[in-house]
Amino acid sequence: MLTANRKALYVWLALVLLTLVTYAVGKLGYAGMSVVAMLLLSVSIKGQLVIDYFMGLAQVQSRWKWVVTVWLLSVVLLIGLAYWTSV
Amino acid sequence: MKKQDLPGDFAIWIFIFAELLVFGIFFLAYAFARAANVELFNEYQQHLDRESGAINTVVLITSSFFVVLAVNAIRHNAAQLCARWIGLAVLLGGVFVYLKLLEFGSKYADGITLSTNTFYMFYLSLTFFHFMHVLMGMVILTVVAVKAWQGAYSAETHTGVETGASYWHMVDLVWIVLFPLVYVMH
Repeated sequence: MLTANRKALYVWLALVLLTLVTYAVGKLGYAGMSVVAMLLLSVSIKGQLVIDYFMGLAQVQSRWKWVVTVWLLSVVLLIGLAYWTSV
Repeated sequence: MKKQDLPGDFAIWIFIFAELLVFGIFFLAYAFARAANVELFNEYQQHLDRESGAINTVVLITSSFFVVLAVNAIRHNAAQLCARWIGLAVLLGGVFVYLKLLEFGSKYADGITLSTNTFYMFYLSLTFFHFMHVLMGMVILTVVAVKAWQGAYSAETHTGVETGASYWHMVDLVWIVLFPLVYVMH
């Protein structure tokens, strides 16, 4: 239990750190396509951490688990496309 | 060793996939509507309470972390510890709800409604839709916590805990996309 909890703690720390970076980007008013790309990369990393280690899908063999990852990547890529078309 | 099946009841995963699809469509509708109204979205996004959004992100992430600890506890037959971690997760869900109500109240006091403009239509409907999911997740987790406290789960039989946990992580996952999209990106 302790090993599993420690791993979850590290994931939590990474998620909080990435959230603080996202907040700082907003606070400092950074904008533009490169910033959007960086934020979307951060969303992808955070989302996949939640999927793999909080939902526990990294430890699952079922093909159904890919639905969540495909959802995340599709949403992130299409949001990126929408922002790119508006530049 | 890898497990064969998704954690929890498979029915909740069908529900989760459907919810993710709806939120995904909502997010893309927001992003493409913004592409057609960049100046409007950029201007009114600056009026949002970014601090509240960021705090709520940390609150939900921490709540999800507590749920992971609860699942780990029941896998080691620690039912009371499992119930306590879920109880703390629900408490943080309450903090999220409280902060969100303050945010909604502030917008309402400023006379902002769904029909104020396209940005606020998306902001209010997206965040309220998610808010309702937080409330539903809190109800599910409360039921799981009570059952865990009463000894309904064990290391061998804890599908209910994993089912509630999976739903709560979905609520967290959706917010992880929603916060930067609506509050930060421009």
